[in-house]
Amino acid sequence: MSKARLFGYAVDDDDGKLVITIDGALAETAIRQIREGAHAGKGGELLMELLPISSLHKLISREKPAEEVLTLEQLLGQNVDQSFSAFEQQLQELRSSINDLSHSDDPDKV
Amino acid sequence: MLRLSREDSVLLLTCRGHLQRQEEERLQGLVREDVNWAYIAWRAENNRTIPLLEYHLRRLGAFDVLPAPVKAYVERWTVMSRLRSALEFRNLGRILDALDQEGIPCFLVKGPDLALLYYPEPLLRPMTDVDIMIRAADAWRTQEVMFALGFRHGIFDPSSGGWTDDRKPLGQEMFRDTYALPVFVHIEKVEAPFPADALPAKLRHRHVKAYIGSNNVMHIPIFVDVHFNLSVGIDEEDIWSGVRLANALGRVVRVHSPTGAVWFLAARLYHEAFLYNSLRLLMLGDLHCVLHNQINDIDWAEVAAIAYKYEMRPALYYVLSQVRHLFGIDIPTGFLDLIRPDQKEIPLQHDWGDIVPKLFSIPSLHRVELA
Repeated sequence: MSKARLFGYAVDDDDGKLVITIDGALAETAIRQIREGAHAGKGGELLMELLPISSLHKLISREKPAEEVLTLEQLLGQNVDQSFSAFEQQLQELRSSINDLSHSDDPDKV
Repeated sequence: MLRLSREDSVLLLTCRGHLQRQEEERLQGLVREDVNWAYIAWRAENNRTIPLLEYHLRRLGAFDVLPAPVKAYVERWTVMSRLRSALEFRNLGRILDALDQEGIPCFLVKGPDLALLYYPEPLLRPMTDVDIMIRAADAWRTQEVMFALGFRHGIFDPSSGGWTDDRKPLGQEMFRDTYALPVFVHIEKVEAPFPADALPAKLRHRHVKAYIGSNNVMHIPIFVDVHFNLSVGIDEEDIWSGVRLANALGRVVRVHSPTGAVWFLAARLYHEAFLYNSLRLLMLGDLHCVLHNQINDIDWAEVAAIAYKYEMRPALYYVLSQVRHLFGIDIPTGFLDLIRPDQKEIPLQHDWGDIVPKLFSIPSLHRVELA
């Protein structure tokens, strides 16, 4: 029975650079999916699953929190439906996402 | 004397498209002071004036004073609103062409009329939906035209991108109880300008409805309100009075008369605020825009006649008096005296007093003294 490499995965330190190598029959499919995923703007979901340091890519592949189920009033209503304090909380969450983005944009901080 | 806070003053100054030089200087002065920008953004969002706030602060070189999260929120809100407006205008063009081909007369009213004719930029004024006016007799044919264009009746869920079809046959009771056909919806799909998590859910669910899928495609519903009246019980001849032609969207279109826009906007602002608790500084800004551009074309006698005919005198008196006082618009005092509610007549039913405290949710009390 001939042996074929199904999937190989290696992480090496090459003079301070992190080098990840994948090979084998399954790797070809994975590489294609990564490439297509990146083109479609999916943010490298598969790449994140492959990487041991998922936190590195938490921004581009952040798991979406479940969206709230909207009532008919929420779907159709147009009046004020949140207090100022709730709005401030919303801004606080936005502040966190801005911080995340600014950190990810700065290569020195990765 | 009701003294507005700095925040409310910023809101009042930025609810319209045009500012006088001294108003710009006033705004620049306020911006340099300690103001709560989060509060301003919250109120501006609910008054639908966020893009106008952004526009004035940016052109006056003051946008960078906003704290980062408020600035990001205002920027993203504005981009979403402008994108929606562009898609709305694209759809409006094909609706107008299709109605024209079918020989169905219509005119632009509310959002598209105001945004295209009176604001400094058409994309500046946010439009929750696109409003056009037809004659009631053309309702059935118009519905068929809209269906043929791919519009549907139903409910779009921006949290999931889901759609629930709700095709409604048009019945005679509709003309008695409402003033528009059931809303028509078409879902546009475009590349999202932001990832979904860069836009707070409330913004996507409530203010600029949109669903952003994992492939970065944004589903944005275009709502079209086809009116056959402006409110229940208004005579068709009063709706169509003064309708004129204008150049817009690269074609000649019928538009609402400035006189009609003035009485309708003033009455709507007042009644939406007191009857439905719907506070819209944007409508005050709309009124200012129409009067700023067309004050000499307003037929004040017609506005007064409408005010008496439909018992709109309190609404028109309080709103237009404040427009004169707050914005320095030269509304004739003789006209205001003519429509002013009289203490010696039977009290008018829809007289809730001044509009300004309500618009800013200020719990103000008149100081009362005995004679």
